[in-house]
Amino acid sequence: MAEDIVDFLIIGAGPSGAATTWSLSDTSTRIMCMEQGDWMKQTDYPSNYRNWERLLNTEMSISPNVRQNKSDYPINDTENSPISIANFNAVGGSSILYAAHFPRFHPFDFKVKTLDGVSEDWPIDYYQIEKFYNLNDKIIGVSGLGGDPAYPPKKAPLPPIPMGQMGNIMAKAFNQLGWHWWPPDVAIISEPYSGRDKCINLGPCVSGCTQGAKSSADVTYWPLALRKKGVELKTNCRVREITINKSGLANGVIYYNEDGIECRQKAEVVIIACNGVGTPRLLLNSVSKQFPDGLANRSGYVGKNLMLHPWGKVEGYFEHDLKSYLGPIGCCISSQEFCDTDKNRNFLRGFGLQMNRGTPPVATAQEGFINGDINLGENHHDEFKKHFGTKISCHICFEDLPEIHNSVTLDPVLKDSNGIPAPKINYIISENSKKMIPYGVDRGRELMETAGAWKIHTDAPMRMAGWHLMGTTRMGNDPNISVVNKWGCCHDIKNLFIVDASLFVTSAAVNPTSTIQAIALYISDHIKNNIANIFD
Amino acid sequence: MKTSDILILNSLLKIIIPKSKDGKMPSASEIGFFEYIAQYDSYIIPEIIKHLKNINKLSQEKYKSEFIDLPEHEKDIIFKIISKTEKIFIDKILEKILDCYYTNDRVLVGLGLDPKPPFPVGNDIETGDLSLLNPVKQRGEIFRKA
Repeated sequence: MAEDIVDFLIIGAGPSGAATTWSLSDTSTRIMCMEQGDWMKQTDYPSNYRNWERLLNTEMSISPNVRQNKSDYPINDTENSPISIANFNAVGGSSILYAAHFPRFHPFDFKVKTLDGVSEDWPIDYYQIEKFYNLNDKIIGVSGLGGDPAYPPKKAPLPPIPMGQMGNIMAKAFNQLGWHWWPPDVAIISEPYSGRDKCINLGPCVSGCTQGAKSSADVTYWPLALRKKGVELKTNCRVREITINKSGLANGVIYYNEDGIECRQKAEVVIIACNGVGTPRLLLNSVSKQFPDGLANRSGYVGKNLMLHPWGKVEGYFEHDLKSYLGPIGCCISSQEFCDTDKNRNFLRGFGLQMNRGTPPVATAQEGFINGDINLGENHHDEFKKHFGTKISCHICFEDLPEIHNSVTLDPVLKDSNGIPAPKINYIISENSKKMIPYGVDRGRELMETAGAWKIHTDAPMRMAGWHLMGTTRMGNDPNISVVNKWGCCHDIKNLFIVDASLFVTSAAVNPTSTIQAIALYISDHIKNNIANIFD
Repeated sequence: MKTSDILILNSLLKIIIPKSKDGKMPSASEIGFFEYIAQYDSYIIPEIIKHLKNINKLSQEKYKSEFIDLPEHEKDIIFKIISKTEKIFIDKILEKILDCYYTNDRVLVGLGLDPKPPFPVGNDIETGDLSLLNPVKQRGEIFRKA
């Protein structure tokens, strides 16, 4: 039996879905958000328990293929890709597990074709979404330090998170090299804010924040949105496909409810917020006579131009116990020194450096054993002491250029628990990245040597590092080479919008969530201002 | 697990992580590893028993003695051989031994840590010296205009 018709149906309750729902709740219309996961309880997160390190690697792993929770779907990310995917399906989405490093894109990240002759330009720019960056920072609570010379003027609402001893050491090294560094914007509150208490440096941020200080969408936008009349969040509902009417307009979804029963929900406007893998998967699975290659896919660009941010790390060990494992994971200080193109290098675009904390006891021992640093037997204790609390990790975020062969497709065999085809990741590291990666690793090594590290390990590109999923339904003015227009509206279907990072045109050399949420607010604002003629 | 298996397991754990010279850190045989495996990974017990028998068999072949009766350096040799011939299993069990060991209260106290979950007490971190930013500020804007 068909259900009644809502005005806006948003698919996905992660950072972009949450921001969109909150923004649209101004309209006093009927808004429904469907999420395949459930609410997370802060009391369930690993940092409540003695065996938190074990829980971090099992039930709260960043890989859906390891977790295999009810809300997870499998992803084929090893057959055809050197990078595996990280995600989380729940109210709050991947912000439940993210490290909360929250830099903005730079103005030059929106004009890559004009400036560097590769990729495409966004049809929008930094200054058009600047006020939404500011709004998002204010709503969710972002800590940082104004005056960063790597950006146009901006100021986070809260003071920066503590750098710690390791921050001082690395800051001096950056200064010696003459490189930019700055306390980064992070989506972690350094002071009590909006009814939440401040960060108390629990450490395992990437397995959920028991304190509630990490500004994930479930503790920021969702409580605000759900206060509004007409807003409903349905959890444990997995959308299988978006349906269209004879006129070619989206008119609802088919989904499985928490009992696995197939249901339909009708809607006047459908908004997709399922991330750079989930969104193309849903569209490719929404096949019809009008769209035999997947919904909104007349361009053939749905699923294409997947960008992942190849990732590296350079880890240095220092003489003294820095207690480096303490503090929010992402991140201590960051550097935009290499984020932009330098024509003296043999690659285009660049990479960001992010100083991450060290590892807690179990991880130190396990990684140390694998690396050959901490042996078993009579030298074990001495070797452990040399490596525990003394490690500083420089993570490197390499900008990924969009390449059409990098894609998300539907796996021909693998399916989720509802029988929906799983996504398959088809990804090759680009020639540009292959030149960029060793250069970036060398800079990381140079930084660690300058800082005085007595031992350095490197790992790039890392396999389990597909945590930024972008580009697969990209934004553009030309419907032949893009899926959505500058308002996030599908070229092919005027009442179907996309608000997550699948609409990204470029990936920049920084984490995407700040930009994801700013763009979601920008798109929602446009929808609100044009609600009367959305079907024109 | 039979008593004989547990004795071999404890002998093995003692050479994998022995007691520290100052006595502060226990050996891996003193941290309740069998109870840990029974709680979290009981499916692996038959495999452990099988490999313990292999260790004892190798000991009898090489030294004509039960593993538990060997001097420490010969036990170490047997372990090194098994670590190569049965690498996949040994790596798997070592991951669990290290998880069990570095979650144990005595071990954490020996490291100078509180044996407690991170929440609700948390940790104090020093703010850091923001005056170190002066050279960065003096350099001025570094982003390309677009």
